[in-house]
Amino acid sequence: MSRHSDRSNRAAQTSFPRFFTKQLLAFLLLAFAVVVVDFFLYAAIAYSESENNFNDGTPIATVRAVDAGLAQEDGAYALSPEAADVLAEQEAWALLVDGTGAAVWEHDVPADVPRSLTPADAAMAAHYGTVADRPAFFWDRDDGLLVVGFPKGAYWHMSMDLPESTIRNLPLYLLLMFAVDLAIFFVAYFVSRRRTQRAVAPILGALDDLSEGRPSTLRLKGDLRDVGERITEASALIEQKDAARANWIRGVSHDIRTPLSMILGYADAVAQDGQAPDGVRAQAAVIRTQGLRIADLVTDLNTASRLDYDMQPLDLERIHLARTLRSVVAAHANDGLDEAHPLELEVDESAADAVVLGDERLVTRAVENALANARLHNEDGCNVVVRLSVRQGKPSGGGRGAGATAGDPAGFAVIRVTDDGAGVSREGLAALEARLARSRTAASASGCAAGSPSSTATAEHGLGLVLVDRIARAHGGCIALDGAPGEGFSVEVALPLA
Amino acid sequence: MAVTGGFGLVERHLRDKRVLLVDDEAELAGMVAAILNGAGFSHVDVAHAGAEALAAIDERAASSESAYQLFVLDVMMPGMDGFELLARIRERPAHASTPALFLTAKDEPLDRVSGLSLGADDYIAKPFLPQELVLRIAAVLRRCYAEENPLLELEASRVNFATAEVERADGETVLLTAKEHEILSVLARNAGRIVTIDALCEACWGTSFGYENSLMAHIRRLREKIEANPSKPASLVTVKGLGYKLAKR
Repeated sequence: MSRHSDRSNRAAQTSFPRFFTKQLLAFLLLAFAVVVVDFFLYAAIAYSESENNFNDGTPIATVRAVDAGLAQEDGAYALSPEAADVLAEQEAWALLVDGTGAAVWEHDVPADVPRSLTPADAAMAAHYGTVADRPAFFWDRDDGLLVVGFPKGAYWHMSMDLPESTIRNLPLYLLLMFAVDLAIFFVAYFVSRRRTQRAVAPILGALDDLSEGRPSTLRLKGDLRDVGERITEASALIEQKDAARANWIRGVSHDIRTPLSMILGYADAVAQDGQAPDGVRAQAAVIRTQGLRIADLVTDLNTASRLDYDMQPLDLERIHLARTLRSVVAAHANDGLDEAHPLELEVDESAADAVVLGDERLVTRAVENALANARLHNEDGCNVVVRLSVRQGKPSGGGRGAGATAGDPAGFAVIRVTDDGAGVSREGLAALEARLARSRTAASASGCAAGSPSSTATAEHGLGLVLVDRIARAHGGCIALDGAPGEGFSVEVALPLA
Repeated sequence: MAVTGGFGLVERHLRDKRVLLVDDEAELAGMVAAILNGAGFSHVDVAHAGAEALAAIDERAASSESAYQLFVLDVMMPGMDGFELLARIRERPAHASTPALFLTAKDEPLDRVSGLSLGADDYIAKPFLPQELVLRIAAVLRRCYAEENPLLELEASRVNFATAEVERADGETVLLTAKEHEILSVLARNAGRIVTIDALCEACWGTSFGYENSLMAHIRRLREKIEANPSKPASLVTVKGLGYKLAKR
């Protein structure tokens, strides 16, 4: 849990600003470039259009041609054939009015075009660029006004009157437009970024789930749908493999029990057979002891595998710890199987009614493992004391458990299993702690059991204490180890009080 | 090879009980039978499948002199498994309450195994040590077949459960109250074993919470009745931190 939040915090802290500056800079540059390119494109297009249409091309060229081709000879006007051709080509017409507004010459003028222009008509015609709804162009000649008309709709005229202040402010307006454009881009960028983040967040969450061994199902819409489906698929595949592994472990641990029963039964029979030679009986006793170890290992392996793979491994209920410990210790005493390791239970007065929320089977298993650990390392016998107490605030040692960060104000119930046996060297204790630390980072306890065969000091401890640690942490608690050579060993399991 | 070591833990009247052992693994069944024989059980039959077991049961059920008195059943068996077999056994009126134990490889759902709904009295997880097996079987038998003799012989007294009378060594006779009788019978059924205070409360009040002080008061009065010196109990001893243990003479 804490690991997960660490990760998301880290992601938020480091990648957010980096993403922000880099991406934003690129985006601003792009927006700027777009505006600049637009501006140049506009200028280029406008220039080329006006060049084409109004300098060399029609209609100014046409008007010029007509002007040049129209000459007065002997009081009568005549148009050169070249100019007439130009007009015909454009389906255009021409009209010359004199100073009084009366037509003095005309060429192909449609019928509905008035043959005379009053000054008012002329002004209106010039203003709208049309004569009788036909686009028209005007040319001032010495002898009058030349009007060249084109078919309806050939040209579009715009006349513009702007106050000088407007023109003066034009750069400002352009700048404003530029700024507004940028702002729009920026908002668009922000929205799309937020969307991306929202779309990516569940993916990151799902990947975190996967890396921590939880199944993840991801349903996404839109472009990222594929990604979601793949992750879901991968998760299902991993789950399948995990389930297969868990089943396999369960199967093996199941199947091994019957043959082991026989090994233990007959080894025990030989060990107790008064007629067998002493050496043989001793050997049989060793077989029996080792057989019991295998039995413990198998149970541990199975429990670890369940903790790893079961979606809901904890069967939570309110556990009255004093009661549970009494029945565990009484069962050992009643079995009378192990006289070399007398067992005692001490319950602090304050802990007599201590209740934790947990899985009783697992908590019992943790205590049994601590007891087995004491027996295993003191085969010649030792006294074992189980003590239940209550501690306020954080548990003393190994405080890296989830419980320590949860800050449970109710405190912890502490089960301490202490023996007065051979104890452990400082190096051994350190190696053991290191092993537990490794198992905490490993995704699976059962995988960790096979993890480090190199170190004999730790390999000897089997899965037992690792499982105690795992069970404690599954309950939001932690364990602490202590011991010195010749001064015994203690395992302390702290579980948050309910 | 015979499995020896009688453990000396099983009372004679329990060793006469007729036991049927059902396990498909012939070798394991043979070993368990040998363990039981070694512990003094004289009537142990073995069946290797559910159908075979039912046939044997029906054959013996004709007379109460020969009917089985304890079933030890393996859970995992091909064909009819242990759960089903027990259900079929329970259908027979003669065996509706005959004690039964399961041998389980522990990965079976324990709630079903330990579940009283099936009417099993206990379960023994494989692998087990012979001594454990014998102890558990003896405990079940002790619970289910209380000694015909209602007399409990203690260091300083003799208790007659039928009349609730305590004959003290000093010649005095006192009566047990109902609760004292209950507590003492639970302890007597588990004589020599620690009974936790929780288990005692559970057995006598139906809950283990809130009766510790009452229990202590009852125990104190019981000791006054059955012990020569109640402050130095010889029969009803306290096991520190755990509970009480009754020592028979």
